[in-house]
Formats: sequence, C-alpha cells, structure tokens
Amino acid sequence: MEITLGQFIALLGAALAVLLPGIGSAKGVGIAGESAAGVVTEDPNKFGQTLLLQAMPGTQGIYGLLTGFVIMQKIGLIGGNFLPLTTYQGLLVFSSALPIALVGLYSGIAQGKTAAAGMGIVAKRPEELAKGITYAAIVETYAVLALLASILMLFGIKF
Amino acid sequence: MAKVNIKKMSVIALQQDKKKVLSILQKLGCAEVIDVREKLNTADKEKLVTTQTKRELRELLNDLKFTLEFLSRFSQTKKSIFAPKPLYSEEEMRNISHREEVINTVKTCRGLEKRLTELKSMEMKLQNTMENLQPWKILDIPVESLGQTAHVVFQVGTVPEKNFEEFKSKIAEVSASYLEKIWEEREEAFVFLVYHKDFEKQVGEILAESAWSKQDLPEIKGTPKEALQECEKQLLEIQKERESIQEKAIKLAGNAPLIEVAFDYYTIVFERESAAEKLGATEKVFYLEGWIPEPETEKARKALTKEIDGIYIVFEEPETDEANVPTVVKNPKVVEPFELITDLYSLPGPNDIDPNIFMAPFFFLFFGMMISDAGYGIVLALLGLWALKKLKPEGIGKKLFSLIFLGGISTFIWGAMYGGWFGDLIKLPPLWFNPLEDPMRLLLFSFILGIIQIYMGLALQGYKNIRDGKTLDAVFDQGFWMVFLSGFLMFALPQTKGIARYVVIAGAIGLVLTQGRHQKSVVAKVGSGILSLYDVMSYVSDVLSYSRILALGLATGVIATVINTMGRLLGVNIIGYIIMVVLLVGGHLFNIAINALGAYVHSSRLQYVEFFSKFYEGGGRALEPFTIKTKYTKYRNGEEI
Repeated sequence: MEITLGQFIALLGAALAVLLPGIGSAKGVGIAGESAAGVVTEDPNKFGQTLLLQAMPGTQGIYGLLTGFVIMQKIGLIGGNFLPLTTYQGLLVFSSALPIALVGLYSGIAQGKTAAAGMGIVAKRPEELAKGITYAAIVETYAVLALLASILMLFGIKF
Repeated sequence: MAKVNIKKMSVIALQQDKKKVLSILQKLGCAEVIDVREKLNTADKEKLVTTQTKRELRELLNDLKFTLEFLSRFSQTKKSIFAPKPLYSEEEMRNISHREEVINTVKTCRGLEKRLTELKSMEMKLQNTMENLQPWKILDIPVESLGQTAHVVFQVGTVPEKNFEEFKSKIAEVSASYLEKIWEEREEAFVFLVYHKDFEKQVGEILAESAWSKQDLPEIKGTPKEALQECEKQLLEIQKERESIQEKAIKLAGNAPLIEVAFDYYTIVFERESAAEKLGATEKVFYLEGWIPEPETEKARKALTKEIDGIYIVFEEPETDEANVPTVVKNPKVVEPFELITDLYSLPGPNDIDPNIFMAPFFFLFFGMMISDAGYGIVLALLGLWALKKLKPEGIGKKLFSLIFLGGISTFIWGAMYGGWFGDLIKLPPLWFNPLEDPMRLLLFSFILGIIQIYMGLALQGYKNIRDGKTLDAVFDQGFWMVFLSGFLMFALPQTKGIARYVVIAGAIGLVLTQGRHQKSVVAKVGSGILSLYDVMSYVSDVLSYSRILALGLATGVIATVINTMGRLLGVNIIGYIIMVVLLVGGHLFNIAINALGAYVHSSRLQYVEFFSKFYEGGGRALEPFTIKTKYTKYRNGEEI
C-alpha cells in the first residue's frame, strides 16, 4: 500500500489530539493530587472527597483520546481500511484535532490548579465541597466546548 | 412546595420543669433553640457561664471517643457498615451507660494506651543505644572504664578511612600510646585509643589533623557485647508486654458496643445541656425562644401542654427585618432529592422563592442527556435502589442515592431515545435518533432547552419583582429583555421572520429607555441604556453553554464504543475472551463513574451559573433542630416522656 502525505498528516492530528490533552490532564491531576495528599495527611477520612476533586482535570485526557479515536475511525485506521487521503483531506482532519489538542493541554493544567485550590475548601470546610467542584467545572467548560468543536468538525468532513 | 413558614416560639415555664420541657422538645426534634443570652446585658450574662456539667460531659465524650478508637485498633471482628443499628430507648441507654464496665473500660484503655506509649519510647531508646554500640561490639573492655585515670586517657572515636594509615603511623611515634582499629564502616574507621597524659598536646594535634571525632558511648555497664545482649533481652520483654496489652485490649473490645451506647447517650445529654445553656432564666422560671416550622407548631403545643402544667407557649410571625431566620423547604417526594443540588449551592434566602421544583425537571433531563446510555442508566438506577434499600440512609445520603436512582432512570430513557446500550454492545434502533449521525439536531435541541430554562429564570425574577410590588421593574428588566430576545429567536422561524426585526427594535427601544433609569443625568441614562444592550452577549454565551449537553452525551457514547471496539479486537481465542470480558466490565464501569461525575458536575453548573443567576440569591441558613443525634444506635421513642 502506498502511504500518502494526507494519511500521515491526519494521523499526526490524531496523535496530537491524544497527546497534548493527555499531558495537560496528567499535569492537572498531578497538581491536584499533591494538594490532596496534604489534606489527607491531616484527615484520612477526606480521601473520597479529595479524589473527586483530583479526578476532575482528568477528563481532558479522555476527551483527547475520544477525538483521536474518532479520527482513527474516520480515516479507516481502525477497521482495517486505511483511506488513501489526499494532502488537503489530511490537513482538514489535522485542523479538526487542534481545538481539543491545545485547549485540552492548557485547560487541564489550569483546572488542576483550581482543583488544588479547592482542596483548601475540603480541608477547612468539607461541607462546601460542591463549590470547589463548581470552580473547577467552570474551567472544564472550555475543554468541553473545544471537544464539541473538534467533534463537529470531524463529523462535518466528508470524504 | 416551597419554603415553609417559620414561626418564633416563646416558652415560659417553671425551673423545675426545665429538664422535662427540653427532653420533650428534643424528642420532637423540629425546633431550633435560639440563644437568648445575646440579648441579655453583661451583668446577667455573667450568671450564665458554661455549666460544670457541660464541661464534664465534653471530657467524658472525649474519653469515650478515644476508647472507641483505641478498641477499634484491636477489634478482631470487622463491623459491616450494613449492619442495622441496635434500637434503644433512653431509659435503656441510661442504664447501660451507668454500668461499671463502661467507666472501667475507659480507665483501662487510657492506662493501656499510656503504657504503650511508654513502651514505644523505651524501645526507641534501646534501639538507639544498640545502634551506637554496634560498631564497638568487639571492644572487650567495659564501657564505664573509658575516660581518664590520673595519667592515662582511654578514648574511642572515628577517623576517615583514608586518613587511618597516616594517623596510625603518627600515633605510633608518640611513645606511650596504644591504638586499635575495632571496626570499619561507611569509609570510617572506628578506633580505640590510649595515651599518656603527658603527650596530650602532641596527640591532640595529630587528632585534629586526622579529623578524629570522639565518640561518647551510652552510659552502660560492661562491655559493649554484654550491653547489647542486655538490650536484646529488654526488647524482648517489651515485646512480651506489648503482646499481653494487646490480649487485654482484644478482650476489652467486646465492651465496645456498650461504649457506643454510652457515647450516644451522653451526646444526647450534652445536646440537652447545650440547649439549656441558651435559655434565659430567673430564680423560679426560665424562658426559651426557638424557631419552628409552622406545620409543627400544634404538635409541639400539644406535647408540651399535655405533660406540663403552668407552661406558657406562644407562636409568632418573625418580624420582617428579623435576621437569622432559618430556611426550611418542603417539596413533593419526587423533587426532594434535587434539594441536594440547591443545598450545596446555598439555601433560599429571605427574599427567595424555593427554586427546587423549577430546577428539578431540568436537572433530571440534563443528567440523563449527558450520560445517555440505557445500559448505564439501568446500572445507576439499580445502584441507587440497592443503596436505598440496603444502607437505609437518612438526610443527605438518602437524597444522594435517590438522585442517583432518578438520574439513572433519566439516563435510561435518553439512552433508549438515542439507541445507546452500553455503547454499541447491544444494537437496538434508537427511539428518536442517533446523535452521532446528526449532532446538529441535538445541538439545536440543547439550545432550545437552554432558552426555555433562561426564560423561566427571567420569569421567576419577574414574579419576584411583582410579588414585592415592583411591577415596573418586572416590565423593564425582565419584560423588555424577553421581548428583545424573543425577537432574535423569531428570525429562526420562517413564519415569524418578517416581524422579527420589529420585535427586536421594540425590545431594544424599551431597554435603551429604561435600563439607565437609576442614573442621574440624561446623558448617563441614555448611555447606560445603550450599553445594557451589550448584555445580549451574556445571554448568547449562556445559551451556548448548553452545548455541553451534546458534548458530554457524545463523549459517553464514543468512549463506550472505544471500549467495545478494543474488546472485539481481543475476542480471537479463549484467553482473549477472558481478557475481553474483564476489559468490558472494567471499562464500562470506569466510563459510568467518570461520566456520572461529569453529568452531575455539569448539570449542577448549568443550574448554578445559567439558571440561578437570573433570579436566585441564596444565602439562607438551614434550621438546626434541637434533636437526638445518635451515631451508633437508633433511638426508640420510649414510653416515658
């Protein structure tokens, strides 16, 4: 099988869609986890609550994987029938990966910081956990919007 | 259906009936006792210092809590969290609490804990000694003989290994001296050194040159070897004693249920004492003030007057400017679980209407749409149902699991609509349509839901304004906005497209003319009127925010499909099938967990940020009823009141 430049560019898009938000989430849950461990040193019973907050920046990575998977399905990598994409087709797919790739990277880190700050709420006023979660959720909005844009773009591209 | 009217209750009765009155109120558990001491002047306040009994009770509760923690460390039987709590009346609890075993157990546990700490520090000290002595094990002179005699100095110390040869030869030049390398460890030579005092200066110089570090051995008798053996022996004894303590504690752990009852009993008494502290009193009578929901007033009056003669009770409306009036909401049973969402945000404040009944349908819809998998819905609903039946939670727990149950039902409905059954594991045709095939349709539907909710928010604020007699505000601030926004929406429909322009202009004129009405000068009035039109952006962004319903719904479905695809790739042989099953179960469970969390968080956010911001102020305070709080037992209303 001849490998086209289009295929390569499209696959690069899929790779970035998984890679960058993955880094963002890893960093985000890492930041949040460090604070969580601090809170749990004082009160081990808060494990559940802190875990909830720590998990929040993890969604970007999932969104990225999701987009990457949709791309792989779209270009036929999964299913065994790799489409012979033209360069422009490849670029289209690549562009559609960009929103979640970049927003996922930065919002994951930002959400991690917000979640880490929310750990302070869990430490001092555990009954107000929902507010800490809401703050983190506001950051997540942009990852959700980026995912939406990426997915809509992908569904819109017709080969 | 809404906020419950709260009455202020005032009770005056004789001092001798105080215990009885408090006991009755505590059992009713519907009223909050107000601290009237704040209203007293300082002179009266001084008479009401914290009672001795309360302080004693607090200490006792601390002791009991410690004992329970201590015993749980040694308890052999793991208590199941599903075990039903034993049922006791107050009489039974009192009898148990006064049994001698209770106080004896507490005392013994305190003693054992103290001894354990002592043993721990003894052990540390011994281990320290042993560590210090270890390198000197083959030094065969008694440690106590180190030091100085009239003419000779005996010393032990270390020099860096690399200096040792040089050091040795230099010392050998000093006539009356002896040196022996005892041990070698981590680049250090452990050296025993003897020299005559006459050469102190000369030796001192050599020691300084070779970086000699003098070691002080622990104060012990005998050779290091003997001392080490002695230490070992003592460690063994400590271990033995610890085991015997453990045995004792395990035996005592059988008393834990008694301690639990005592803990609950004294908590009840403590609560009562705390309430008693809040009362106003003269020599003969006392005065109690409290908040009580209106529906409970008659019950309280009956219970009190039936038991006690010469009691005066009155229920009044709180004054309009009265601060600190607590909030109680009452909703139909279906809506009750959703109260949790509002409670976590903020309870309705004095001017608020109870938002729960308006918020609940939206939360229900959104939660289901965000997960939107019929299989996941069944799992969630069953989980909620199981927890409700098995754990029999109360309060927040009950609301939470009911919410999971209801959310599961909504998820099931939407999953069936979209045709998602564990992703594409079970292929059933959608009842409505598959959002993966036509995402724009679902996006539009999400926006429509958002628009409905935003209009409802505006309408509720309008209602609030009219209720407060600010009809004009309702027309200007909510009415004109609705006209203005509706104009834009009319562009979307072909039938109304023609007149849409005029509706927008009418709304805009209304807004420009009225939104600056609080400004002083005419210029400022017009200026802020025009600027207010820019708020349309915030409404647009509010509506766009509802696109998350589509995004999260798609995400669940696609992740589920990913899991299924990976599973299918594996299903080639027996081992593959086993891994496949594990992967499918684990993957779908993970997907349910992460998406249920996401659906809860984002549905809540839509309520908090997009909906509540239109009309809801919050800032209310929950009623904290003076009631019976038990942790380990269940309270049975006894015959005696």
